[in-house]
Amino acid sequence: MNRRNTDRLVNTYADMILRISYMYLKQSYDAEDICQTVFLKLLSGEYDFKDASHEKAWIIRTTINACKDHLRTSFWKRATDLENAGEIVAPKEPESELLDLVMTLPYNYRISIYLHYYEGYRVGEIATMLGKSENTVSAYLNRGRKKLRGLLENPDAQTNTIAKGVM
Amino acid sequence: MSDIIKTEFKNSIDELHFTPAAKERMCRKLEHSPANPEGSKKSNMKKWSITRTAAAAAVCLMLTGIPVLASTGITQWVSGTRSAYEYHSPEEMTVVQKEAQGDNETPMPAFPKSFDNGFVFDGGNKVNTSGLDAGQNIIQKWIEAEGYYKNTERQTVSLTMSYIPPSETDIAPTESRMIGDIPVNYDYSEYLFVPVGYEMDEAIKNRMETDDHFQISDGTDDVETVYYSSVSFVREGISYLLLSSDEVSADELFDMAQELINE
Repeated sequence: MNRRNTDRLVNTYADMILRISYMYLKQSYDAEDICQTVFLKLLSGEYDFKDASHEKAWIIRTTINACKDHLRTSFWKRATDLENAGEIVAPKEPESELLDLVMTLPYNYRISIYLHYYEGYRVGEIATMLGKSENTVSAYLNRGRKKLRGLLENPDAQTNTIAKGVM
Repeated sequence: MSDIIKTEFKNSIDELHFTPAAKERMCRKLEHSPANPEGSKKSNMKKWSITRTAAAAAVCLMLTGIPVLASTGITQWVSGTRSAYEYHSPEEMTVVQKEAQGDNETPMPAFPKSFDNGFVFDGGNKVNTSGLDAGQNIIQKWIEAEGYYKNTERQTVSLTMSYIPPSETDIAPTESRMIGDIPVNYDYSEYLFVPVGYEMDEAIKNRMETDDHFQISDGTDDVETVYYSSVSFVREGISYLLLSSDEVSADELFDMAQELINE
């Protein structure tokens, strides 16, 4: 894997990994670590992808697994990463009320919405990536859309929820 | 989901991306990672494995500060650095240099971008060292700045800058030269790295007694012999050590020292 291939990987997939990480972790700070984890796994293994879409699907699945691992160990990682907090600037998070509402949904809904509406994957493909049944993914999308519609029609519902959390 | 909502969703996700600098940083880290087989060959990381990096730190300490440490009650030390580069330019190295400076008056000079003999700055790290007493209590901690230089023949030379004074040793250097009014010592020594508990035969024990340029260091995973060449000097209270295990000649190292002194 020479420099040209490393550049190709980073330029093709780093932003996608960042976006998936953001969907899962609700922050962009750890995205660079997630990227490194995914790319190093690819570099250190002997994977034979039949085409670009196969490679992309592998990267998405691996990113999701890396995010799940991160959530499991997140307290420890935050404690140790504080020492380096000043050295890494997290990617700027978008300022979008719609995205803020999407981020209030459960993470399976968020990631399904992202994979379907942004990456353009079909329900069956998303099901394979998430390790779920097609019915489950359809439910994620339907419920996610319904909750989002409710939030868009009644923004106060979300505000009240936040106020409760603060108190 | 309506088209308006879909468009707004896509536009907001588009705003989330890495900067070009962040992508460049990732590429460099991946390129030099030990997990990258091609990166290992390219940067000679096979020779600078994690255990060997620690061993090289041991060599640095042996060549610079052991007797000084002994006078403070320090009987052992622990040194840590990352296996992959933390810093990728001489400009970035100023961060760790400022941290290393602490209360010292004289700031460290910038790491050169390159030397006339073709060695070019490749990356650098902060080296955290703790001196422990016999009871494993930390007596002193200090930071050193370590930069790595490579040439087109894939040889590596490390340049370490430190505020720890060099050792006052009765071991004669392999060669000494004066560069201006600064004495510069060259050392060419054989280091035998062994696992903890390694049984040494009589020949090795005898050599330890009689050969000043033969050292043994334990704590590595495998038995390995490495030849280190180095030059060291002190200028304005800062200790400099140029070190290589790639058979870089004395003349090349002295030339690099001269460039640093004449800067």
